[in-house]
Amino acid sequence: MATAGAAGTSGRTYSFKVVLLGEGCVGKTSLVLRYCENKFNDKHITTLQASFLTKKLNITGKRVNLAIWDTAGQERFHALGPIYYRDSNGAILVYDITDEDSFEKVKNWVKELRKMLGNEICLCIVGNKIDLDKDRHVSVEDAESYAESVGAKHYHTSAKLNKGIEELFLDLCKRMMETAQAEERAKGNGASQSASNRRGVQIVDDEPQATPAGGCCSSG
Amino acid sequence: MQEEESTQTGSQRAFSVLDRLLLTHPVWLQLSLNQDSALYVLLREPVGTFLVRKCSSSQRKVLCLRVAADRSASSVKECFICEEDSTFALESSALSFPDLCRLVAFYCISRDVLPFPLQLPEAIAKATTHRQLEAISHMGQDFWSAPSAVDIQNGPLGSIASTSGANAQMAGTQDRCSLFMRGKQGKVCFINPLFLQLEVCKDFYYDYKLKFMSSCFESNLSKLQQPQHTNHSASNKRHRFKRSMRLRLSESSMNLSLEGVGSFSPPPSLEQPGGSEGLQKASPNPQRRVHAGAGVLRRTPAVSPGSAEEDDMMAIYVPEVSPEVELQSFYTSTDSSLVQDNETPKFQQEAGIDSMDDEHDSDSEPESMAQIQTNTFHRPPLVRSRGRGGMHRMSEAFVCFFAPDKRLTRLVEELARDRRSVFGGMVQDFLQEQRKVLVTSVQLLQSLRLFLSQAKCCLLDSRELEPPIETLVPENEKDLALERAMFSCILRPLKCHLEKALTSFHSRDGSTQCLTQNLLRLKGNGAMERLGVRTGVPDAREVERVKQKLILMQRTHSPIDKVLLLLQVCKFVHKICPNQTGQDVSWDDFLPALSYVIVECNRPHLLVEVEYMMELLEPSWLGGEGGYYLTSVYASLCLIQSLEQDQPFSGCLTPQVQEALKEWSCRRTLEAQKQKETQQSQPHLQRCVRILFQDGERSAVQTLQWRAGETSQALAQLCASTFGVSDPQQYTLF
Repeated sequence: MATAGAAGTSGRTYSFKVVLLGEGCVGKTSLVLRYCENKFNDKHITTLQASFLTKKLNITGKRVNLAIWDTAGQERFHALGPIYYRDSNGAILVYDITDEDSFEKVKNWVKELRKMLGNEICLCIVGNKIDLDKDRHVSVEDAESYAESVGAKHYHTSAKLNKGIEELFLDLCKRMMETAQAEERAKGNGASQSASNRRGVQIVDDEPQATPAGGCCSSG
Repeated sequence: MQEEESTQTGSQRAFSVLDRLLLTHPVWLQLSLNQDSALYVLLREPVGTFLVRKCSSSQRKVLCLRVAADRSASSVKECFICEEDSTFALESSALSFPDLCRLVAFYCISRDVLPFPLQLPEAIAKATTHRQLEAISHMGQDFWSAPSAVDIQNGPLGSIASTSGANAQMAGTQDRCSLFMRGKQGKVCFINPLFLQLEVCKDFYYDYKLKFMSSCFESNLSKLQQPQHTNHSASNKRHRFKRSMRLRLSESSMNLSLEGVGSFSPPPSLEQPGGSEGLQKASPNPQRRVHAGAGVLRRTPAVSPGSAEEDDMMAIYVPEVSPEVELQSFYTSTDSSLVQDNETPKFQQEAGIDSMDDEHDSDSEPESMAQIQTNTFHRPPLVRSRGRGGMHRMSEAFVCFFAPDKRLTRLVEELARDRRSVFGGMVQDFLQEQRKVLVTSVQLLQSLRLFLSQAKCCLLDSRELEPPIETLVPENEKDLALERAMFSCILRPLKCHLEKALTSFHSRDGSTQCLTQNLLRLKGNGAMERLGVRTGVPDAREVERVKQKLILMQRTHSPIDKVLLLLQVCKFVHKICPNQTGQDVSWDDFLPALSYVIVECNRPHLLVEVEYMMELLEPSWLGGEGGYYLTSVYASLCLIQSLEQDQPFSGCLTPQVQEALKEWSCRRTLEAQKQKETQQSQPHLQRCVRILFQDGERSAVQTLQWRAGETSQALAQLCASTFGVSDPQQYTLF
């Protein structure tokens, strides 16, 4: 709790919330455990068993705090999803390449997320268990073209062999940083203006019109 | 006259290095300086001179020390300050300190990892009165641009020097300094051994001896108060000091300050309206004065919060700000008892939740608040503003060694009660408003959250907090400590009111009834199956423990403490989960188990608690671990509410929950936008202006609000009324 920083950008640290979606058996929990292993903050609950995990990264000199939220895998808890994914910066949608049904579930999530959160959320579609490629039931082309069609990126991973996981998270972080920076730029006119005016204006005169004008405008 | 003068000086000998540092932090704490400016400043000062700045790239504080006499860049040594685990330490040192002032104070006395101890600027080291130190402090960054540190003393010291008959002020000053090297000794600095690590443990008592010019003045200790005022008006007449107000714009982080000189006007107007005489009559308190004198020369044990010695230490400063005697003694007694009650036990359970002592606090708070308020209102403006930055307040704040953020909370609370500060006025207005208006629960909490954020900005903008927050809490704990402080001064007074309002709202919309009903229906009756529990569950005794946590949760006002308790509950559930399967616990194991525990505890009030936390926590924190488990508890409650009779969870939430979810996301987005807009536009509407008022040897600093579009004349008017000036045309703003 105490370590939870400001969302978006505060100073040079970015804090992102990433939600983990997918069916129970696709291995989404082990995917994240692989990634976060040995990097835990031992305060509070965060243990290997926890469904909330954090990771600290340093990307091109910028600090990034990643909070990864596990969610329901069972269909009957699907309705609770929105409680978890609201305000997320990113979503990792995991399917099992040997299970076509799990890929359909991912499609449902994508629809829902786009509807509820719009384009501000970065989506990653992840085909897990590539160590079982011989049993593949979801074709690479299908998956990748689908991902492209919904503005998501597609990745292949194996939690078992620890393959593709680092790349997935690093890429996601970079994309979330870009989104955050773009957002900042869009809203940032006022902010940058005030920053450039930080130096303040010296008030040397108490002429009514001169003093407040100098002062107020400088506050931008 | 002569006698009175000497009495006055005699009473103020006891400034420890720490006291001097606390009072003059605007001089040595220059967080906005960059490396080059710091170098530029220090190269004009003698070896040993130091300042603390903030490195703009690493955002860490740096102690800069002039180590060699040559003028190269290498003659200034830079030492990073580590801020970890609520403590401050020099990078290569094993010693850590509870706050920045203590760290600097220690290094003024002992070199440890430095080549030699830090040297206070001469003007600060040799200042003898509170007023002098304050005048130095008011110079802020300008202190360094003054021709030389000794000249700075001219203003404040000059008046005293001349009363002892010396015509040349400089000479007088120097004479007196040498005079000081006689007489008794006193302990100047102490460090808290709790924060000393490794082998140094036993020998922490770095005894630094300062000599006082005490013997000749001791006999006069009983006349400490009146002289000040006589002296004051006398010296005013004698010196016909230039008057000025100095303006500092607080929105800039640069310590921009402008100083100027106004025309002279005769003093009487200032002597009367402030009521300093009237109050003076009320204040004499012989015991305390003697007390104070005695305390001056006493050794203070290193750790004894609220001990008798501490009281004495505080009493020392009473004569200095004489009109406040009553108020101060009141503070002293209340606060030290509070500290004893709360801080010590709290320290023992430091890792735990400190919300339990909230009960004591809130019990004692209303009366003391009322008393303080009435007291505050009687204080005349000029005196008040001088007193507020006063030593007493700071020393008192440092009594609580144990919990750095608690210390901040106390300071902020005190400021919040003070209607005369910009921050206090804002908070008090808001609290009054809240007690009248009744709205829906969500609107209520929303407006509270918005105000919490605004008040936080105001507190930082106004720079009314003394000493500044940067010296009190490490950078990475600043946000948390500030939030806690805000909760304490805004949510605590409203606790009862809020609880009533929220409870009644939820019974009106039927959500409480729905939850109560389902909790009862589920309890013990196939709950495990219907919630989909497939792991181990706690037994009755364990459930009881969780229940106790939930009861505690209801007792604290602080959303942060509530969440910490909630985390303990979740941790507990997590521990129990893997009993059966022995595998990694996924969400699908955890949430049903959590729901089961909530059902067994049967506390419908949790609904109100969860809403309270979700709405009042700083939005960005909801992304952290606390936010995750809070969300899980909320999800559990939704699940329980949505269970239909005798059916397993169908996957449909109740319409109310669905509605709430939609509303929630719209609202939070809007809120975040609004907040950003307010933050950006606020400087246009109004901002805080820091005014330094100088009148002869008297000076005071006050933060005022200056709305956009207001002329400087209007501001001058405001200044005049604030500082109790009856002839404002004689003063000017610079």
